Amino acid sequence: MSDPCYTLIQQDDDKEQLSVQDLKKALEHGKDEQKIQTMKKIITLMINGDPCPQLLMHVIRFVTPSRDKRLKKLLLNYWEICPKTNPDGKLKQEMILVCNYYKNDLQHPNEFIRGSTLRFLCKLREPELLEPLIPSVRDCLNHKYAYVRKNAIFAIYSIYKNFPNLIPDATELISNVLIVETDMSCKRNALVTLANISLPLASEYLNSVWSQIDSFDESMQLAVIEIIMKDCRNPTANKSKYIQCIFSLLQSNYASVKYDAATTLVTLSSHETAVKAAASCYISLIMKVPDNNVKLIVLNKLNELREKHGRIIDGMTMDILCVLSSPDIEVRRKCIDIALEMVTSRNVDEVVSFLKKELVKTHDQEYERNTEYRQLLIHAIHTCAIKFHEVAANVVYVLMEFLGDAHNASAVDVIAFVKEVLEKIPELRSKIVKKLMESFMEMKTGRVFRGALWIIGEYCLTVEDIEAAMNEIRNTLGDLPLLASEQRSYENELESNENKDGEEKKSAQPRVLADGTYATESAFSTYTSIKKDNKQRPPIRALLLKSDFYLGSVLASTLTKIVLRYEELCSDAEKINSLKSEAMLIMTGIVNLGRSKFVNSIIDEDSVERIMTCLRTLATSPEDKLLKDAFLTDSRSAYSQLVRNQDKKAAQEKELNKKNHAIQVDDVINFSLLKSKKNVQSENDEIESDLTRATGSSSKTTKVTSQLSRVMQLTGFSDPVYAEAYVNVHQYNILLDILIVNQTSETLQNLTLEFSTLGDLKLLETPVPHTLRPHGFHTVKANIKVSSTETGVIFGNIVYDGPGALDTSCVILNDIHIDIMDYIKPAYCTETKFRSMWTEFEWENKVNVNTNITDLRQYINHIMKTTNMACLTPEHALSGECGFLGANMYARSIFGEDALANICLEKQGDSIAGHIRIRSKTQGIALSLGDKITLNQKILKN
Amino acid sequence: MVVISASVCTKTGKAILSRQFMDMSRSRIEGLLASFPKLIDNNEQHTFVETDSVRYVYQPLEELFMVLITNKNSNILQDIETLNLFVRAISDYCHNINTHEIEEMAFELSSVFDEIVNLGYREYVSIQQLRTISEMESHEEKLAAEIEKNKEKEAKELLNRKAKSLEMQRKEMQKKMASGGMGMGYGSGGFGNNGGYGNSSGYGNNNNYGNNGGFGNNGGYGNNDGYNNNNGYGNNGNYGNNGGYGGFGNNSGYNNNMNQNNYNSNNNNQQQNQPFRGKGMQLGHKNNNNVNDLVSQMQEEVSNQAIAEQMASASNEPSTPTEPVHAIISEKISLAATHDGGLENLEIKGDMILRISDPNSTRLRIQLNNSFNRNFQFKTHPQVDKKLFNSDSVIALKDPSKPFPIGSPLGILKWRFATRDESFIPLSINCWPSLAANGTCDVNIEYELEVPNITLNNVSIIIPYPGMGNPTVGEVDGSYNINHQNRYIEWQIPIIDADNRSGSMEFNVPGNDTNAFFPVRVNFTSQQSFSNINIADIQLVEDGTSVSYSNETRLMPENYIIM
Repeated sequence: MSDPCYTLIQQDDDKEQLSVQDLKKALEHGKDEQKIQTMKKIITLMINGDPCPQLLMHVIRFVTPSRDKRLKKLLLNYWEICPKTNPDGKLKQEMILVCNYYKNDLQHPNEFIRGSTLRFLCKLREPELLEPLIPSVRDCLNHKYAYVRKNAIFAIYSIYKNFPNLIPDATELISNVLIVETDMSCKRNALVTLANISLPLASEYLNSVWSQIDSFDESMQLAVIEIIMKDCRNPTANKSKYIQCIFSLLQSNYASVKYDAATTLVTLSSHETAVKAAASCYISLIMKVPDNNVKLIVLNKLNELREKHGRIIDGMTMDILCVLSSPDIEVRRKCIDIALEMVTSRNVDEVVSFLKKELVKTHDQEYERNTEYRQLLIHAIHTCAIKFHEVAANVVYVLMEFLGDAHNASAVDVIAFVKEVLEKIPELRSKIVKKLMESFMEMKTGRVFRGALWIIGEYCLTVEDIEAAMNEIRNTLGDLPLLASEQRSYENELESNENKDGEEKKSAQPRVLADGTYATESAFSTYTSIKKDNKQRPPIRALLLKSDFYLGSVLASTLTKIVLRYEELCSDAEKINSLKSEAMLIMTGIVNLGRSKFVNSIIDEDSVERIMTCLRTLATSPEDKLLKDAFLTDSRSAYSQLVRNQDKKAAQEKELNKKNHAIQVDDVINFSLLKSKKNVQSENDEIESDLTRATGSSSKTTKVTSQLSRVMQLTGFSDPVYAEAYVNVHQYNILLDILIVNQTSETLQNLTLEFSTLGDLKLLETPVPHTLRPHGFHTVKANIKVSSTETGVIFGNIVYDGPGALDTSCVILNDIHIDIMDYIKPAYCTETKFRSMWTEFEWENKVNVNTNITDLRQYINHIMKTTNMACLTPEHALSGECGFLGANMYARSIFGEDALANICLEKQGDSIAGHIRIRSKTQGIALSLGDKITLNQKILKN
Repeated sequence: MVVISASVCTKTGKAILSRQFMDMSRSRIEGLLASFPKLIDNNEQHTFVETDSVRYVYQPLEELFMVLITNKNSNILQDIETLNLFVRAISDYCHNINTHEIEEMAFELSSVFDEIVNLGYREYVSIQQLRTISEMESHEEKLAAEIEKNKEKEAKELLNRKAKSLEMQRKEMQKKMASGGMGMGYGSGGFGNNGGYGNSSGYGNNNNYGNNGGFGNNGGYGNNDGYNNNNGYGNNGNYGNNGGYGGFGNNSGYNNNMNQNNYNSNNNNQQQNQPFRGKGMQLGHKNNNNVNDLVSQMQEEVSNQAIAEQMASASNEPSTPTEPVHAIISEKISLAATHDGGLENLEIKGDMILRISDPNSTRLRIQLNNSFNRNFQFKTHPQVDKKLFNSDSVIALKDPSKPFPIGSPLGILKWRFATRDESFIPLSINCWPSLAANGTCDVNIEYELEVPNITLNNVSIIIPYPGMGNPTVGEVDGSYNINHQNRYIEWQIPIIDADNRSGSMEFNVPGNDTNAFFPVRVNFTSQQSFSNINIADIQLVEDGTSVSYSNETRLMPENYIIM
């Protein structure tokens, strides 16, 4: 692993870069103020990759003697990053001087200088430097000021951690400190240190202070919890005492302590009371802490708890629902998600009634994002009702109140729910249909009407129902025939306009425009005034006038269905005929209206076709059995099949989940009570690894053979210098491990490996010259930062001085191409998100398909494999063979960039034709992915 | 419970300032920050995001983001608080939060960040405390600086005195030369900046550190002396330029050389302006006529206070004619008393040094007068007959045939006395600050000599005063001197003795901190000893005849403080 980096400071590129010589001068002659500025410049330079080794001596000579505190602080920053060893790993001579400087500062009368120097020691990793400082560090443990002591404790901790032999008695030292110390922050540091270096001593200390823990401050209590967390894996641990302690900490005054205590409690014990206590603690935290982040994260924790301990906390569903009082929609969503998972037949009534209450509240109260919340609630109730049929009857009426909701989504959700309830619970059908017809007039949007009309078409099974339905339809349509009445009202309008005096008349008269010409007025411009009154028109009629002809076609088929059904049920021919003729009148009316000038746009062919089919069916009704079945039974059976399929899918998923939980016959079964130390270890490691993962220090062990396959030869075998590189791709950087071999029998001096990059790559360090003996070899590591997914090329050369003073030789290296596939990971997103990204992204790269693969599916699989993308189009949509294939693919880079691809293929004889379109936000990805595809197609050909 | 990093970054994820509290590689942290802006969704009302490995908790700062990167098990409640503290600290330091300003303040901010999170653990500090810490104003340091300054001053005084004594000696010597060809050669010496702190010469100008007796030879860098010693490394440069008091040398080694009637006529000013070179200081080194050579011998500063004081003592009583046998009795008193009259600590250390320059009178018996205070703990030189001393107060060597060494001073007796009994305080100081109505303090201070048989010369009482205002001195016995720069009043009384036992001073100063007038320090010199040891007679061992001898006694405070 490369050196740890403690500070990043942006370098201002605009400013003039000073040469080393200038910096030296500034250090030599400057006053303190100027030295401070210079030091800042030097440190920024060093942080950004230039090690400036020539400046070390100047800093020692001219900066260390200063007493200025700001300079002292800057110096600590400088020592942090200043390379302390020669390339051969030995400590630099100069550092001995620096060591003295450290020592003086450790004995400085100013407690802050002492403290900050001690803090710096935590980052010092050279035992040769640390060793002489140890006595001073020890002395600082007894300093008058807590600031010095607390830093001294941490200094001892990190020295001991890295070089235990330097302070062999650190554990005793710290535990003694713990006993005598009175300052809380020092105590905390000591406790944390002890927890990390000697757990038994830490727990021993805990044993001596049980009774005082409640009176500790926040930091100490947290440290206590940390110890318990760590020590509870220990088989000899005093678990009952620990649990008792944690229980009392649940009542702590500090929210953060409560949170940690709850988390620890469930790891200590999975007993019901413990889990419940933890859960209720979480809930109270969510209620009390106003911060949304906290709420969300604690909810996540709660969810984890639920997943792990399942039914134990189901009883608390109602408590969790109380969280809904928080105004943030994200919190509410999460809360409802969790609550829904916890709904059982026992509490479903309560839950639903609570949700209903909340729903009613959304009517009277104005929340932020109210509609979204309402939708959320409706969806939640929907889910509950589907899960537990018995509540469906209870809620369906409440929900139907929302059919008239102006907000599309929630009303649509309601109508979908109603549909599902009708299909699944036949007993409720007639009641719901009646209710539906009552609220018919209140509906507003086309989608809701379509759903409602479909329900009427399918579930109006009695004569009365059908007649009532017909009435409602008449009401929502208004006067018939549509076009004639519209014409009439338009004429009336005109007339009334004529009759009206004043302004209205004026508007009909020719206007004189500013440029003196007459403004012409056409029917279209007056038409706007007609449109204005649309609101007062019956809803469906208004929608039709707004050119929602899809609704028209649905209306037509509904009418067909009820007429056909009426024919079956009723024997009164007259009634049948009048109904039939009325229906046909409506249908023709829709078509005529659609072709008139009253609508915004002319009716589309598909709707006309559909309405015509309905008309024909009605005209020929009794005879054509096939058509009749198609209308009366097929659509419904299709729906019930859909519902059945959905259920099946859900069941399958459940099954799948269950299967995941299942333990293989030959697996070890863990009994938590009988857990041995070894098994427990793994759990403990999980916590530890959380941290290592976060700092990114975990290194994956790759097999040697796979490493070998990534070795690249950089120069030829007959070049004076042979070089090869092993390219190691980490998450955000590329580590080149380069082997250089001197093939000549002369010593090569000043041999420098220079790299430059193309694309979004950045070299982190500046190269250092080496001297290579005859036939000697050397390995160099080069770290290259990658900041976006783009094809990158690293090229470079090796420069060295020849035997003569003036001749410099140069060997040019092979280019190293960085494979973007290392950075692209398959990902999934919803279709809507895909679409929105598709329209949003600016870069498109279109690649024509040119391949020798003959099978469409095989081609897609091949592309997916080579580009690391995931296919978003569901499996069943791809299945079957029709000679065409379209699919969406999606991937995400580890830098968070999205890559979209759309494939359209057609089989033409034996070959595949078509194209792949790749879209992304940045040009780089689109281009490199395109290249990748083009390249791989060709490769396959060979 | 660990904060891994605190960063201020731009909307594109470029770190303007980032401070890591755990070891992690540069590319890792840069990568994490670069991917951060892509993860966040501006429409959300919460300000954290999680990835597989880390959690970001952030807060927008105008055009920038303050981001904490934590591990996923971290305590969010604590992290939110920490984040708020970070943000407050930033707005405390930067007026407008923008890229430029953060860059300007990057180093200050990074040190503040360090105070908030230490090794990943949260420190419970307030903004106020953060300010105090970053200002680094330390009372202790001021105290230490004060002490140092006093020492410097002492050294200066000594120098002046020595200059005078030198002049006198010169005259005297001329006389002697005229009378009998007797002369004295003076060794060269130097004193000045005393070791411990204020290593002001630095590691300058010289590349051969390591050769120069510094760390390597001096027992490694673990050895405190080796390091504090200015001789350590480096040519100590030009002392004359080095802050005034740096190195004044004086030839004061009492190398009583009959044959060599040389002395040097250099004066201090001359020496101060000379660049020093070469070797270390040598006490009692033989001198030669060349002024420059002499100077070159004094080149290194003496870092050791004790030596400096010995030197001082040597020149303390220039008027005393030095006989072939010379005894010096010196005492140092250190006292720490509290301002309400209690005595923390009183310690008197004394020693008797014998210096013989006549080879004929080396085997001596020294009879002390019997009046000295037997409460003191005495220690004799190991070769001195202890029994004889205890019974008869006579100092003589165990082996009467052995002589005392010639030429070099020899400590033959040491004594020490420590007590906490208030009645032993020689000079009690009563400093009485009281708050006056208009936000000022009236300070009444008085001294009283408690031991009537002692005379103190050149007493100076140093009283620090607080605040920015200047004190107005009312009634005063003696003279005073206000040091505005270092904010203290120096009250000088030329002599305190039984006839002149007490005195007082009044002054008024703006300020309301009555504790700020302490510690009061006292300096004085005296030619009497506390222990009352004195030499009654010195006889030759062989025949019991008295030899002519001279002696001098001095008492000076080492650290006389009223806290």
